[in-house]
Amino acid sequence: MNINLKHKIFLLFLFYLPLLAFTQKNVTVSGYVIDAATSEQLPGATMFFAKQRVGVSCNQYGFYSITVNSGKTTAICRFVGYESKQLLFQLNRDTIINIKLATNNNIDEVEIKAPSSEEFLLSPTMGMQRLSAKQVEQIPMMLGEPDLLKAIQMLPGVSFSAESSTGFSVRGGSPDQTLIQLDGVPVYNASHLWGFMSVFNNDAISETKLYKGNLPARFGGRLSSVLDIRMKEGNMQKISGAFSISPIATRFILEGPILRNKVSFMVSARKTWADVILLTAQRLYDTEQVVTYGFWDINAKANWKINQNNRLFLSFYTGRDAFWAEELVGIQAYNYSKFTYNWQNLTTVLRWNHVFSPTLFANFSAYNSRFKQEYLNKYDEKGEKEYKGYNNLTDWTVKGDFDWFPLTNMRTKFGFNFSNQTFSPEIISFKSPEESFVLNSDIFTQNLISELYFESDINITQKIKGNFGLRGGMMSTQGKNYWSFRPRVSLRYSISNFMSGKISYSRMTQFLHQLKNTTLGIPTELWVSSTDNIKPGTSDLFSAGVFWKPTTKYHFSVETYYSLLHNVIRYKLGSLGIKEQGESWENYVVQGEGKSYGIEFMAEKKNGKLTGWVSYTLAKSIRQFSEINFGNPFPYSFERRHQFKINSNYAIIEKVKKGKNIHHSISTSFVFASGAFITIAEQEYSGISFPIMDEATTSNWFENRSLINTVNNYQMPAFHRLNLSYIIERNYKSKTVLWNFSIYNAYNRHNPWYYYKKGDKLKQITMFPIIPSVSFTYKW
Amino acid sequence: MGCVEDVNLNLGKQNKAIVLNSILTPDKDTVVVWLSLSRPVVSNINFEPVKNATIEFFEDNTNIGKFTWEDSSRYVLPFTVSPNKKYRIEATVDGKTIWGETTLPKAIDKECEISIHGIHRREFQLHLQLQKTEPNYYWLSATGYSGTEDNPVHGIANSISSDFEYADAFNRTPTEYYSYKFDYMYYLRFTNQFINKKNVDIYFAFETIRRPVEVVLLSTDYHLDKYMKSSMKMSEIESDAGEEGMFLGFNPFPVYTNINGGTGIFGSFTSASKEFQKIEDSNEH
Repeated sequence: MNINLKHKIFLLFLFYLPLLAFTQKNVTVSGYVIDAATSEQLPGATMFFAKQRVGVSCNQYGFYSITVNSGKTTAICRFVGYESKQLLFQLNRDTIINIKLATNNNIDEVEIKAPSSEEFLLSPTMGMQRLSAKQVEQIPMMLGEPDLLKAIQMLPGVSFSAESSTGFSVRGGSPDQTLIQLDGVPVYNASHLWGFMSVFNNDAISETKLYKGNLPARFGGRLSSVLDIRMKEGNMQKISGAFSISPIATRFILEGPILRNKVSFMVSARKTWADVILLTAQRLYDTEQVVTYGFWDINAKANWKINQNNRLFLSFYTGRDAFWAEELVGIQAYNYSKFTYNWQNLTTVLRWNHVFSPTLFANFSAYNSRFKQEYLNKYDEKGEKEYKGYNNLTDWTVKGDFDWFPLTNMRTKFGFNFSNQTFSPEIISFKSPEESFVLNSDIFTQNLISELYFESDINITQKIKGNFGLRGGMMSTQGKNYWSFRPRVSLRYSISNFMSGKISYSRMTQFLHQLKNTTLGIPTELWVSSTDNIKPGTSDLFSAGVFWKPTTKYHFSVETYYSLLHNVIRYKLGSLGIKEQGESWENYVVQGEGKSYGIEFMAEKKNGKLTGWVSYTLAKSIRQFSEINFGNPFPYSFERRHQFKINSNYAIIEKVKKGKNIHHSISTSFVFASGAFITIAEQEYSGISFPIMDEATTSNWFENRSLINTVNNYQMPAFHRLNLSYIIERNYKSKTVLWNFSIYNAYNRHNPWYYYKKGDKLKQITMFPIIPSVSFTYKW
Repeated sequence: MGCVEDVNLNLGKQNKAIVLNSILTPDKDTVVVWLSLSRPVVSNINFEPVKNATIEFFEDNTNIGKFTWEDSSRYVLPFTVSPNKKYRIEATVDGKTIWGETTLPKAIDKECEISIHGIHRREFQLHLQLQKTEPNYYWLSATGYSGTEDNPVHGIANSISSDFEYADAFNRTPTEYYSYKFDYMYYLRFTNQFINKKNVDIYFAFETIRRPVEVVLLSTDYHLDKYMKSSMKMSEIESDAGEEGMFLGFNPFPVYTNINGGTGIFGSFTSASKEFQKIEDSNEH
C-alpha cells in the first residue's frame, strides 16, 4: 500500500468520525416495503419524511432504514406503478415498520409533488435505466415472444449488431464487457437459437436495471456496463400462474406460497416448438438424414422468510440449446454419423438476508455459474468412435454485501467476494477402440479472485450529493498476481426541484474475455481468462448529464460519455484460417486499445394513455491493435453513428363490460440506425495452384482469391425497421386473457445481413422480411 | 425466412494491389514468378499482368540474378533451389518494391515410406520416421487420371479418406467411402506438433483414380502451409455463402500472405512420392 492510499483512508476515517458521533441522538425507522398482493419485496421503493424533508430508497431486497428526529411525523411511501401510502408515526425509539403497497390500476397516476430520493433526479447514479417485465412484454418483438435483450437494445446508448440478434454493445463496449447477472449471478451465455433469442424468460423476471454511466463500486468484473436482472420471488399469498404460446415457443410460470406469508416458490419453464416441427416434417418425408434443433430453459426460486431479520433465497436457472444431425446412409452400419452441438447455462445461488441492526443489513451469497458448449461427432451408434470438442467455464463465488445507514444523509455499502473460476477452452478429444487422445488439456486455466469494495452516498450540501467508492483486489492466475484499485465517483447537483446535473467517473477491470468470430452473440464464441501473457482489461468511463423532470409524467435527459478501454483482446486477422488445432488461443490474439464517446438524448412519458420513449444517440467507437489494419484505428463492429429509437404503447380502449376489464392497446417500436461496419472483400486477386494441382482439372479451383487487408472496412446501408403489435387484454376476477397480434418489420425493409459474391454478381442476404404473428397468454 | 437479392455496392475503388505468386521446389530447374494487379471484386475484366517489373532473387542473402519476363504475368529465372536454404524475392514496380522470404524445408524422401496395405488392396500406408525438431507441415494427397481411355485427364484426388487421428480437421467431413470415418478435401494435412520424433503409420485411401496413381507427401514451409490452409478455408466459406446454414456465422477472413507491400505468396516445399502402376485387387471394379 503506498503512502497516498494510506493518507486517503485516514482522511476518510476522520471524515466519518464526527458523523458517527451524531448517530445516537435520533431514532431509526427500518423495515421492508412489499407488494400487498404477493408480499414480494419492492426494491427501489422510497420513503419520504415530510417534516424532516429527508428520504431513503429501498435496497435491492426491499429493505430501508433511515435515521430521523424523534417525535410525531408523517411519511410517504411510494413506488412506480403502486398507490402511494401516507403514514403517521409517533417515533420515540428505533422502530420497525413494514409497508404494503397496492398496485395502481389507474392509468393517470396520482401526481406526488413531494420530493423523493428517486434515481432519475436526485440520486448521484446516472445512466441507469429500469425495465419492468410489463414494459418488455409491451415492446413488439418477432414472433410475439417478449425478449429482454432486444428490449434493452431499444434504449439509448445500446447498439445492436445484426438484425434481431441478442448481441448488444453498451456505449461502445464489447458484448462481453457487460456484466449480465441474474439474481446477482453472472450468466455467461445469454442467447438461445443461435443468438436470436435471449435466455431470459420474461415471465420469471420482475425487474431489470441497466447501468451504463457510472458503475457503483458494488459492481465489478466488466469494463463497460451492468445488466442486473432480478427474478420474481414467488407469491407469498396465493397460487398464481401464466401460460403462453407463441409460434416459436411455449412457456408457463407457477408461483405461490408453500407456507402462507412464510415460504414461497416460483418455477417457470419455456420450450421451443422448433424441434417438434422439424422432426415431424422430416418423418413425413422419411428422410435418411434427421436434422433438428431445440432449446428449453427453467427458472426456479424458493424464498423462506424465517423471521423479521432473516430470509433465505434459493434460485436456480438452467437453459440448453441442442442441435443434432443424424444420418444412416445405405445398409452399411459404418455409414452412421451423428453430429450434435449443445450449449448450456446453469446457475445456482443461495442467499441469506440478515438484518444485524436497524441500520445494518447484509446479504450473503454463495453461487455457482457454469457455461458449457460441446460438439460431438459420433461415427457409430455404439459410440465407440467419437470426436468431441468442448469449452467450459465454471465460477464458484462466495460474497457478502452490506448496507449500512449510519446517518440520515449517509448510506454506505461495502462487501467482499471470493471467486474461483476455471476455464477449459477448446478441449478436443478423440476416442476409438484403437486410440484415444486429448488435445489442449494443458491450457486449462484457474483464476482466484479476491475483492473488497466500499461505496457511500453522502449529501455534501443541500444541492450536492455524491457517491464515492473504491473496489480493489487481486486476481491470481498461472502464478501471476494482478492487483487492481478502481475508484468510482459520481456527483449530483440539484439545479432546481425539477432539474439536476450529474457527473461521474468509474475505473473498471475485467479478468475474463470473450473471443468472437462473429458479432451475433452466438455461443460458438470462446470465454478465456487473463493469463500470465494476456493482461486484464481496464477502462476509464467518464460521463455527465442533465436530467429534467417537469412533472411525474415526463422525464427528459441528455447524457454524454467518454470511455477509454485498455488491453482489450481479439483474434488476429485471419486466425480462423491458420489456427492449428491443439494450439492455444493465446497464440492467435492481440491486445489493444478502444475509445468511444457520444451523446444521448431521451424523452420518456411515464404514465397516461400513451407511454414510451423517444431517443437519439450520436456515438463513435473505435479499436486499435498494432497487428491489425496496419496499426491504424478502425470502427468497432457495433458502431452505429446515429441511432433514433421510438418505443410507445397507446391504450386505445379501457372499459368494463359484464364485469370484465377490457384493455386494448397498440405498441410501436421503430429503429433507425447508421449501417454497421463489416469486413468485406472489395477486391480480388489472382491465386496460384497448389503443389500437385498444377496440371490437374482443378487447376482453376483457386484462381481468384478475395483481398481483405483491413477489418470493418465497409459500412452497410442504414438500418431501419418498424414493429407493431395490437394487444387485447381481458381481466375477469383474477384471470387474464391476453392476445398479442404483431407484425415484425411492418413495411418489409430489406436490411442487409451480409453480402457474398456469386459469379460476377454481389448478393445481399436479408434475414427477416415482414413477419406477422400471434401469441396467446392466460394468467390466473 | 430470409431472402437473397442482387446489389451493387460500388466496391473496389481503392488502389489496386500488386500480386506476387511463386512456389519454390527443388524438383524444378526454373523459378517462376507471376506478377499481376488485383481487380474489383465484382468484375468481368481479366487480372492485369505487370510487365515492367524488376524482380531479383536471393539465396542466403546472395543475389542470384534477375528474372526475365516471359509472357502475360509470368517471369522466369533458370535456377534450382536447395532444401534448407533461405530465399528472398524482391519485385520493383514503378518505384515500389514488394518482397517475400521463404526457407525451403529439408528433404523428406528419406524419412517416409509409402506402400500398399490392407485387405482391400486399396488402402495405402505412409510410414514416417520423424526426426525433425522444428515445426513441420505435411500435406498428403494423390494424383491419377480421370476421363476416358482416349482422353485421360491428370488430376488430384478429390478426397482422401483416413482415420488418422492427428489430421487437421479444417477440411474434414464424415466419409462416404469404405470403412474410414473421415474424408479430407484434396489433402490430408497434419503437423509434427503431437507426433514429433515418433514412428507414425497413416492408413488412407482416396477416390478411385485410374492407374497409374502417384501418392505424394509434401513438406511445406510455414508460409505455403498457411496460404494453402487459409485459401481452402476461405474458398469453402465463399462457396457456401449462399447456403442456408451459412446465414448465421458468415464471416470472411483474409487469405494468408507473406508478400510485404503487396499480396500473394512466396512459399516452398519438398516432397516424396511413389507411383503405383498396378494395384492388385481382385475385388476392384
